[in-house]
Amino acid sequence: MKIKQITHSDGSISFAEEGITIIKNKEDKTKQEIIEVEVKSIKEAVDKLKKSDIL
Amino acid sequence: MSEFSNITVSRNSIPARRVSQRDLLPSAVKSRNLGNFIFKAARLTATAAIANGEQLVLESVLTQNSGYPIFAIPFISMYVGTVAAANQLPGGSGIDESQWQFTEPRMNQEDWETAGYPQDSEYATIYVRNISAGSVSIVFVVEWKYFSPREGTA
Repeated sequence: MKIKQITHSDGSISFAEEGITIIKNKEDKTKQEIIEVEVKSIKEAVDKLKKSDIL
Repeated sequence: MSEFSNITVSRNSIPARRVSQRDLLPSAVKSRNLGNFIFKAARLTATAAIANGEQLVLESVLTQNSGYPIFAIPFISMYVGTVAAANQLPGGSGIDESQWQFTEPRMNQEDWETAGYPQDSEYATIYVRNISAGSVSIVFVVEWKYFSPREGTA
């Protein structure tokens, strides 16, 4: 499945399917960056989060 | 302005009888019609990391991609860590709600107005704040149920 990787204005990341936007900081509406990535499932997206420095 | 002088409309061309209060209504036909314009959109998921003191706002937009008007209801669930009944926020057996603040889903007037009040789109928002649950991930599951003359295409 294709999913959006959202980089928030504080550098943290989220993952969301098309049709969903996640806003973490007040600046996100203008500063967040979105790229499309391929994952097998939402579980893989959660695992990516765990591998990042955030969790 | 275009003129349609070749088209004539006669009010008496289609004989119609008014339905009396004593007439039986065609309930079977009404029921079938209702069933034909209630649909469910595809299941959507999202996940984000959230630490103590941080907050997330999730916005979901549903657009009828065939262009027909819709009236839709969002179904949004939040889970801490992984999708499991015990992890559902609020209500899961493994969740301490005192560690969280959140709103229930609501339709977002600001987004609808900004988009120019489209008849074929609906906008929903939910808010969650981590007070003291530590560094965790939130998984959002979003499904829309909608009324429309036609089902949207996948």
